Amino acid sequence: MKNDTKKENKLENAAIPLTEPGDMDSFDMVVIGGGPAGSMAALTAADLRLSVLMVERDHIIGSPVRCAEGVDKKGISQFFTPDPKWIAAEITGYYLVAPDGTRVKMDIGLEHGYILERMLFDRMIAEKAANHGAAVMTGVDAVAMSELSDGFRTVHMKGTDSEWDVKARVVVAADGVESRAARWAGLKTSVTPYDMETCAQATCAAIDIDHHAFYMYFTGEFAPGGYVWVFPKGPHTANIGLGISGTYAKKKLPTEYLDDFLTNYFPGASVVSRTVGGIACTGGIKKMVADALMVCGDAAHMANPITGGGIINAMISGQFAGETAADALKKGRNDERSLAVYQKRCDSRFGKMNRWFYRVKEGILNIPNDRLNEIAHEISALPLEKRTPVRVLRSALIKNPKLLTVLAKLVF
Amino acid sequence: MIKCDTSLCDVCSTCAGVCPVDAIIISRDTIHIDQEVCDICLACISVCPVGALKEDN
Repeated sequence: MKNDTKKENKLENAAIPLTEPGDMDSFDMVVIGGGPAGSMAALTAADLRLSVLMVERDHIIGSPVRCAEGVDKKGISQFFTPDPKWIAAEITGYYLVAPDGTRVKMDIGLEHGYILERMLFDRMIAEKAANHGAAVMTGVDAVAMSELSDGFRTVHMKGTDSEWDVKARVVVAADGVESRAARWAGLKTSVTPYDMETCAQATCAAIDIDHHAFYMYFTGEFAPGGYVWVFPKGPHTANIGLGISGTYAKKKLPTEYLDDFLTNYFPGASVVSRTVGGIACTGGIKKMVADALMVCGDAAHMANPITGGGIINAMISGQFAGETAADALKKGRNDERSLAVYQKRCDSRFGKMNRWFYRVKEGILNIPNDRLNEIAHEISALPLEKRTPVRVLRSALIKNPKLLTVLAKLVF
Repeated sequence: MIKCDTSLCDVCSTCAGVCPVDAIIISRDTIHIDQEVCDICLACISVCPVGALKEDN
């Protein structure tokens, strides 16, 4: 972890575990879900001397990968020194592609990015959490949760052949898009089909791309209410996928849109793996804390509602949840009020921004094809250093003064 | 009622994310639809990326 000095200071004031070490029936924190949000919560809490159990429903942490795997360098570097073991490709540029095929090379500035190897990345964080003292279990499904009673919530676990109860001072719901645990606590996490981006992705080999750049195709034909991404994973390999608003998927499936896109743009590609999934693009759930519960990552709709990128926000939320739990438990508290600071911190770091993004989302993702072509031509005419996302958004929203005002607030 | 074609389903949980009444329960390798809770609002069908969910009367 970076920020070692900061962590050391915190360790001195670390919470005294309220539960007996080695006790597998009760924990200071039980984390449901072993993705980046859950593992960061477990790692952070373990570092702050809480007793932690993290359960993952699947048998393998990090698998199946339901993700395009792109992150920005700055975002990832605040947590870990980038390591070639879990980085598939380094990104130094990107292209926006219009429906007529116009490719606009964009200025990435110094904000380089990475395409991760999520299977290895997720496992790295989970292993680190375990090595720092968290108990990690795979193949364990949290199937029910009690109300807070006598200072604990009781989570009912189901393994391959057995069931048992675990008591938790604090529960972290990092259980992804379906987020059962948040719902058990009475929080509203269900999404309308319009705000659910339904996605299909193929990892393709034998393709010809600039493997240090990613591509975003905006086209109503292949990705209505969304976009197509090409994220390189190696010299001739890339994650090629798309997300469309659930309201468009009634007529044609994301997998069908993707097959059509591949036939048109990458006819020689060999598909080496396929995946599907959904991203809740609401800009965030209204309430992400309850008594003895915090909701992290996809479960709290923390992905950017325009791009669908959610890894870094998920990790930040996990860290905040771990810190909040340690602070509250140290004071002997785990009620909703004592955990409310978690939501405040998430809001100021990325939540407010995501709500603004949500307001401009419709104006961005539903631009007709001919207008997308015009925008691409306008941006192409600019010198490279002026081809920034803000400039593109401004062009995209120029005929929509109301949203342009929102954009101004977003940027300045 | 809503039925899931398990030969198509990838257990990605997208359907459960839109279910307004928590009628869809995901386990490791299968989904279960609680027909007594289900309102047949069809939200799940519209977001399924592989077309595994169908209304069956």
